[in-house]
Amino acid sequence: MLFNSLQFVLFFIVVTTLYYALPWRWRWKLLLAASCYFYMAFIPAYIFILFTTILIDYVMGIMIAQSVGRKRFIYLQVSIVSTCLVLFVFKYCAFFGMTVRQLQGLLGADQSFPITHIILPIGLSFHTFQSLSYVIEVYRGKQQPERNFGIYSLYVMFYPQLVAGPIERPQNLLHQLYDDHQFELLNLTRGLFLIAWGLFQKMVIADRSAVYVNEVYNHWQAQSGLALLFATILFAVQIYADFAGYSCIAIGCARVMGIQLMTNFNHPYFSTSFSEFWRRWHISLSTWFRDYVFIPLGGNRVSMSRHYVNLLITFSICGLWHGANWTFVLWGVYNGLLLIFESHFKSLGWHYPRNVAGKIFRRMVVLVCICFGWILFRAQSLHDALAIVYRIVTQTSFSVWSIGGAIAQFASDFTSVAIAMTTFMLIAVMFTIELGEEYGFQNARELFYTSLKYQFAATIVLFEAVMFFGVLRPMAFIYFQF
Amino acid sequence: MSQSKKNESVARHGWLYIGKLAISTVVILLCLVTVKFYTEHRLALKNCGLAGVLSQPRLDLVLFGSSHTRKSYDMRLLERATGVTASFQISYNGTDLIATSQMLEYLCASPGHCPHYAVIEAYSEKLTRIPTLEDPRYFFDAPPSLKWTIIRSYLSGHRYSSALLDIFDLVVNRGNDEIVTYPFYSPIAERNSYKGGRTDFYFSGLSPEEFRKLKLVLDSNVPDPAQLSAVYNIIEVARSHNIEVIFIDPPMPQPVSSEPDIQALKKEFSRILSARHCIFIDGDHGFPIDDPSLFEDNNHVSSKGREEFTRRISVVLKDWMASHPVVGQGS
Repeated sequence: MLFNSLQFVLFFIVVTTLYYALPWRWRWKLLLAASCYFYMAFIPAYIFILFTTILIDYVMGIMIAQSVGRKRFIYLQVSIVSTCLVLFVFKYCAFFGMTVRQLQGLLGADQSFPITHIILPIGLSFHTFQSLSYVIEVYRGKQQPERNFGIYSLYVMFYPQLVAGPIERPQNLLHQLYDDHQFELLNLTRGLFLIAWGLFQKMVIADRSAVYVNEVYNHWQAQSGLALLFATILFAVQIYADFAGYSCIAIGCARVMGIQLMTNFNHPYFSTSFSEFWRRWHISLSTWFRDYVFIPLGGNRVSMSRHYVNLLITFSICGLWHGANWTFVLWGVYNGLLLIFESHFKSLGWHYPRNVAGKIFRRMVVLVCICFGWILFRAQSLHDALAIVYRIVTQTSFSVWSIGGAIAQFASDFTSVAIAMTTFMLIAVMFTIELGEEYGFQNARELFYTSLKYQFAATIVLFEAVMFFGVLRPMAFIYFQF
Repeated sequence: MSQSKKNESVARHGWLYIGKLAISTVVILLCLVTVKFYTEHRLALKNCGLAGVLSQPRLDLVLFGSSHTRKSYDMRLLERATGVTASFQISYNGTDLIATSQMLEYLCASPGHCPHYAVIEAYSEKLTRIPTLEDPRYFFDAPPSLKWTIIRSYLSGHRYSSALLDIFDLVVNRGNDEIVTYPFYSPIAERNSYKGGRTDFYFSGLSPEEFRKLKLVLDSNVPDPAQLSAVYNIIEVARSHNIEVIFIDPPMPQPVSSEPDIQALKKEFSRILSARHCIFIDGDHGFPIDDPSLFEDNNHVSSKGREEFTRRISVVLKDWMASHPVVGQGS
């Protein structure tokens, strides 16, 4: 059940109406049932796997809190291993098998290692990390174990963020599931506005960009360097708009019910450094890795070389989390190297000058480097990624013929000119609005977010924009595959 | 006010807000869509498609078809070879016989736009095709009355619920890019068309290996009743308006043309037309369909093939027009 489908609209209306109609003590039960229904809309049988992991983590959380000494650590390990085992079996088994086969091939052995392909349960990577953050926080004593199995289940599978985040922390979400959320008009208006903005980002910006990106990247061998460059830039826009749009819709849906989820994106493409980019991009995931991988490894409070190793390990795992392919791992390593570069050259004045020209320059450098990283993310294989980079670097020409040929990939006729212009215009509108949010006056922002009139008008404009300019045939969100 | 009454009041405000939001969105949508429905055809390109043909002061020869027609006929070459300058080509992607029938009827009903001669694309695979609307530009270019015809035809041929969604998509969502970018888009697009045909793109031929691997998979080899009905209607409309009509199947590469299903369809098409005393020209005959350089893919000619085919078919068309002079038809 995609967020951008009529089925979900009906589901959301029914669930939200019942939510406020029921006494508050029944609401979590309704949300749990709705979340189960939402999850089972994909592959019903997988709910048993989800509930098994939920049960293990629920029990281990209580056992950790009740135990002392080494037993706590053992229970933590049981929880982590069992949760990660499910993730490994469903997501990484085939990848592991293929890697072993490749190694067998390199060593001249018989490539007979079995490869098992299993359909990935939806949202597995996300709710796995959400469960892990719960048991780790209980272990660290920062969170009391949840005694109510139903509430804990709802924490893991709360439907707005079940499939693609934000990856919530128990301190933020758990207590909200108990709270009596009175209906507030401002929550409704804000929530609907966020949903509308998320749909605009997804259906208008991301899905339009996807048409071009898929056409070019799926037939990259026949494309010019310029077309591949356009596609890479558009993929950077697509992945941001797709994921930020999903997060926005998730946050908006929860907000309507009075539940506040964490912000997941904070205008990452306005970053003036790589570290700033990772503080603004997929915030729930990057903070998860910071708190549960990077800092336990020692973080940056170790020697310089150890710090760099920690960065590489963290980002390699981050890359692997995104997908079972070496291109994702290399993407992670690439981003780790960018941070190492930045850390190393900080002393050489990387953050200066701090004036507008300096910030624009650094912003461009960050954007270009991040965009090139997306090639690894999008390409089907390392070979394809390298070939695409090579073609962009050596075969990009800005002649009229070349630009015309690149634009022609939008459609098979001369409407490609109109589609290209409209798409770039809409992307400019999105980033202009974000620029306004980033640098706009504090008063103006507050006025907007507290004014029913302005949010009402903006929501209508966004819904109309989706109807007129969106791709109305539902396209899956990119992060569903993770 | 008690807490529960207060909550009720707040909830009522919430429903009011949602109601106002929904109604405002729908009303604005309806207003914009109505304006769009009745005016967008005025922004259609004037040297191709329906708008192009309707802006011609005189129409002697009109070619109706799809991408096969667009890629098979060089209009400048055709004019020079046949001597017919009042010619035009209407070729939207995927145009089937039903759409052709609609367009021909519309032209005949429009004063001064009934052609003397009509060349109908008789691409044999179209006979089996499930009616659909592949190119939304056809709808965009169509004047309002033709738009209603298209909608009625689509609704009658498809499952109602999914057809409604398709119509919504077509009416609301398509063509907006062209509207928004009209001042920039139309000069570029119109510069690259001539009498409905494209002049800018070059389509290269195939290598021998690519040519050998060509296949065309048909969804069915049974003529679709709606398409058949459209053929009869085209003939009927042409006869009632004194239009001389000829059906031409553009050439196909030999590996595809020799497939038994394709041959069977060509024979069937020919049989249907000759039973109604209509001329059917198989573009394969006399055309070097075993030359890879003349084909772009499994069912379109290359730019070189277009030149070759236009040169050959011009002779046929010239003789046909000479032997079928049109008398007593106002145009």
